[in-house]
Amino acid sequence: MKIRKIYNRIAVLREERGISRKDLADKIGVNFQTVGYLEREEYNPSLDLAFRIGDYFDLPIDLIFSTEPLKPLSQQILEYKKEKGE
Amino acid sequence: MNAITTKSTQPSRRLGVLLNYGTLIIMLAIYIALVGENINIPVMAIGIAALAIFIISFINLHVRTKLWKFVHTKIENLDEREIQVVFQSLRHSYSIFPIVCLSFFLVYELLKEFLPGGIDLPLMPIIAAFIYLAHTLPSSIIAWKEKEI
Repeated sequence: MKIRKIYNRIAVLREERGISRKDLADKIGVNFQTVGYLEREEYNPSLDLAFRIGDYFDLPIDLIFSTEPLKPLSQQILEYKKEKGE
Repeated sequence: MNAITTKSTQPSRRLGVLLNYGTLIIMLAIYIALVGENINIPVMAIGIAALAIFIISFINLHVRTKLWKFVHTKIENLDEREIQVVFQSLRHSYSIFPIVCLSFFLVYELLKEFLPGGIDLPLMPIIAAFIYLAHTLPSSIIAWKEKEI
């Protein structure tokens, strides 16, 4: 079975919140190197870990992870506003 | 969750793997060549140099990087990626080790059968080398494959 690549916004969200890899790793219960692998999209997290990351950032997991390359958040917000007619 | 923390580059780790197993083979060859023979100082010097490189590469590759400890860490002290890394290294080891052993025994038997005068190797150091290989292969595979440890 070919495993699909999972894209994510962990690096952006972490930078935005101004926390180190080590701090994030401690919060989600993994080694800090695993955060590096996740950010470089070289490792697909388990569903449990994805939910833990979602819980930490207080965001739904589909906003953090995707099977398609993710657009910049600013672009996504703009599209969302257009959809809403704002 | 902090099993491996020492920074070392992948090319240096790969060089360490090659040096470690390379010097092991050189030491074995020298031991086999010198058993029952008169002491040959240049060959002995090469053997001692190989032993020194073997020890240094072992320390740098398996001890300083904490890879050896990492492979033997309890599963509950590893995160999910680390469990996957250890599992894959063990899986590859189970594939590689029998191939190395069976290839050696095949070549040995063929040489014994067809070489004029046969061949008679001291088996104990060879068995010791195989045990060393079995024990260090998983951490060597991690050292070889992983970009960041």
